[in-house]
Amino acid sequence: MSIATTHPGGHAAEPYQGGLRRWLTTTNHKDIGTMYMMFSLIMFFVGGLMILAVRAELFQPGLQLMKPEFFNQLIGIHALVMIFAALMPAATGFANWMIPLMIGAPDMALPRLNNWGFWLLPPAAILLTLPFTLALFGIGDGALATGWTFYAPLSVQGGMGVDFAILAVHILGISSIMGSINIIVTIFNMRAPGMTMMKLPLFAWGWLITAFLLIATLPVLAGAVTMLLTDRHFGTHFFDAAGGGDPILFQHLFWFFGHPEVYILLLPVWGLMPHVLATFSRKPTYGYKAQVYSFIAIGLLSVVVWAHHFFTAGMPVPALIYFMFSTMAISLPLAVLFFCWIATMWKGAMSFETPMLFAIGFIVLFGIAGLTGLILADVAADAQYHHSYFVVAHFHYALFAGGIMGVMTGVYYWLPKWTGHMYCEKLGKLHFWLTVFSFNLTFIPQFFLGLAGMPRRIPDYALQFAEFNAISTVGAFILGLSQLIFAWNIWITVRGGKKAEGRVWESAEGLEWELSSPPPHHSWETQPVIK
Amino acid sequence: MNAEPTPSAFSDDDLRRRRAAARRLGWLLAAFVLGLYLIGLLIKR
Amino acid sequence: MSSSPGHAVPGEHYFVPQPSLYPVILSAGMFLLAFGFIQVINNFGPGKWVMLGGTAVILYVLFGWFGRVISESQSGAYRDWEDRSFRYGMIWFIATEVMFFAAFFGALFYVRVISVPTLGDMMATHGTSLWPEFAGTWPTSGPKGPAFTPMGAWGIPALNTALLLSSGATVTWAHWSLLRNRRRQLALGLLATVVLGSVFLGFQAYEYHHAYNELGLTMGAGAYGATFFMLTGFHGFHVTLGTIMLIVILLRCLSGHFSAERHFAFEAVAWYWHFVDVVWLVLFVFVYWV
Repeated sequence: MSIATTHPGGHAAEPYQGGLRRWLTTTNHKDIGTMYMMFSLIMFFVGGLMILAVRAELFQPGLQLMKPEFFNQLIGIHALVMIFAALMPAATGFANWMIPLMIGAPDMALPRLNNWGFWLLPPAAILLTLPFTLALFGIGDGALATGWTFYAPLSVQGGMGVDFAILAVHILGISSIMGSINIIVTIFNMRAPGMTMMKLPLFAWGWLITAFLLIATLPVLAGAVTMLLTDRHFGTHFFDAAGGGDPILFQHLFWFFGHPEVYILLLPVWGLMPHVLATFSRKPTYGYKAQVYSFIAIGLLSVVVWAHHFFTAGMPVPALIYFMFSTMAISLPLAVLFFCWIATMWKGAMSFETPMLFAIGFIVLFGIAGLTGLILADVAADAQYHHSYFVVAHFHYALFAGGIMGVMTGVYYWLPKWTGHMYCEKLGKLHFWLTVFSFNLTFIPQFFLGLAGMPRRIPDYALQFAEFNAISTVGAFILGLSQLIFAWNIWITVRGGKKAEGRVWESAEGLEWELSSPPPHHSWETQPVIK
Repeated sequence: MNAEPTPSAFSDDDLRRRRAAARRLGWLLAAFVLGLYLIGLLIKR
Repeated sequence: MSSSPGHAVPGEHYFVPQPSLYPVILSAGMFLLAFGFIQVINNFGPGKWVMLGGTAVILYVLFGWFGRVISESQSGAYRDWEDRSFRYGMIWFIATEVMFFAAFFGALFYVRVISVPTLGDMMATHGTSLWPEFAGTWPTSGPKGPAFTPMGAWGIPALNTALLLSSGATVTWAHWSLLRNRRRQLALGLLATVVLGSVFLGFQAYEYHHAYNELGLTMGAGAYGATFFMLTGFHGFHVTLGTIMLIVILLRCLSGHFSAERHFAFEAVAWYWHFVDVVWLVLFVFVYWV
């Protein structure tokens, strides 16, 4: 059977498209994956610059650089950019690049939809940041100034930056949902013959649970911000007690999405960790099944624990106790994961290339995120820590050390596969040590600040907090500058460097390493058969 | 943790040494954690 | 349907479409629509015209993209393997829609079970209240909301329930006819579904008119008005989309598309229609009835 006749629009007839047109129109999972990764890297620096301005303002007490309103805008947009435009696209980029290679698929199941999913991101990023520019021309009063959580009633009363953020979230949500549907369909329908679900690579498992969480929770966020929009402009009273509504309703709806979102950001990383650890320990992954079941358990638990984000907002005591214990229950499957990661290294012939360094750094630092999370999950203790810098430090250990460093692990691990070149190992190691050092320098002081009672989201603070804030700012600037090494390393690897073999790491297992580096434009056109 | 040679350059002997080192470190960490736990038990709160 | 569920047939080639400009144009159209909308609600810039431009771009893409998919489908590019992808995709898309409605139902249950009774009990439980005379009974527009008459369940809403339920039956009749290759009954069944859907929408429009002009029931009528109009409004919007999709399917049936073996688009629209149907049933019970 000839391909050309059975596939009128198929790849056999595909003309080569060069230049910009290639990227605008592509249906190839690798091109789309590359765009996701590049977009993520750019937005990582955009979000980083915002927070460096914030840290500069916080370097010493008093107001030096900006008005409090602008400070509020920066922290909110920093969070939205980092979560929706840096971390989530990076994870989706990994999925696009690696899942078809790992499961022996010719491409993603719905390639045109895939392209749409990516191209929704730039418009959304423009909507998020446009109010900053419009304010310069005297239109509106700048971007969303409520923090990324949009809490009512502040967000109901806020300026038009809130509207921009609402519409941006809608578009980002559509993008993520399209990406999730595509990934679910790809994993269910595109696996190589013989690859049963229990032979599926753990990275694909992690992403599968992520995709289900996105499908279950993002529409709820869309609904919540839609209610916010109608409260703002169309006279409804969802979040107004005078009309029988309740501002806390918004918190429930938001965190029904917001808490699973944490696992949406982290599950892809947990999925890729065992691959990296097994490769550089030269041992098979420990506890494959235990990890799969843990992913599923965490996915299920994550949608029933949301109210621990607002223990102090006012809730009946039985509800407080339920949300405390269900939250703490998540630490059980998570501990299983930690155990599996460590057991994978146990008695392994370990070597410490950059991805392995990042993976070990991830385990240690993400462990701190988990332990401080337990403290915050305690209702009685949370009354003290809520809305303090302790929370800020905790979720940066979760989302920077757990999320971003996990992404960096994956980038160093797979970059040779994507580009066909080895990255510079020396620069990679320098990047790792600088990142770990400056990350801790930035955020350990914030634990102390929070314990001492410094509230988050304020541009000015009492004198007693000055030293720790100064240290934190120095750390943040080193952290920011270190990332330039990362960008430079990626740049030189894309441009050239030592040739990488198909099996980049000699002990790496999996279908993705059977292909050349970089893989051919159409990988696995004929599917491999798994025995 | 200096720049490693490419992974394929490890000799069997080297890999054996690394396995032993990983096992030693594992026991060491386990002992450390156990120690922390025991100290925690002894401290009067 | 499938020879080996979840897996490809060894040696088979998957259909990967050619590069396409439609997705990026669609994104641009959606940006214009969103940006124009923000301009309109904040009174700056040429918002209306930007929205109009965005809508035109989106319509152009919808015609072009779906046209391309239909012609690919007609040329036999999609076989069981691709067909399965579309089916899984549609199922999970409908799942996201379910969760979107769940958000609004969640809001409805929250105000009915938690916020309104709590507001009414403030005097009893705390000995103080901003609004001591507020009773906290449903339906309500809240302590400061306007007076209104709630919508009764057994007039138009009950009729609408009957309409939607029978439209679910007619679309199933059309499906059975398609499976048995009875094209005339297929077209009749679809036509009946479209008519029932349109009559439903007509009644909804009349009900809204009635609510605003005679009952004092508006979007601004507190928790009741907000949940009533958002739930029925989004449902009505989905019925509208479903009716348009059914019309497209009817036209495709009339031009001889679909066979007893291969008719994913038909089934996708039928699933969507049943989903809209089920949402209405829940809505009828909790918004209108109890």
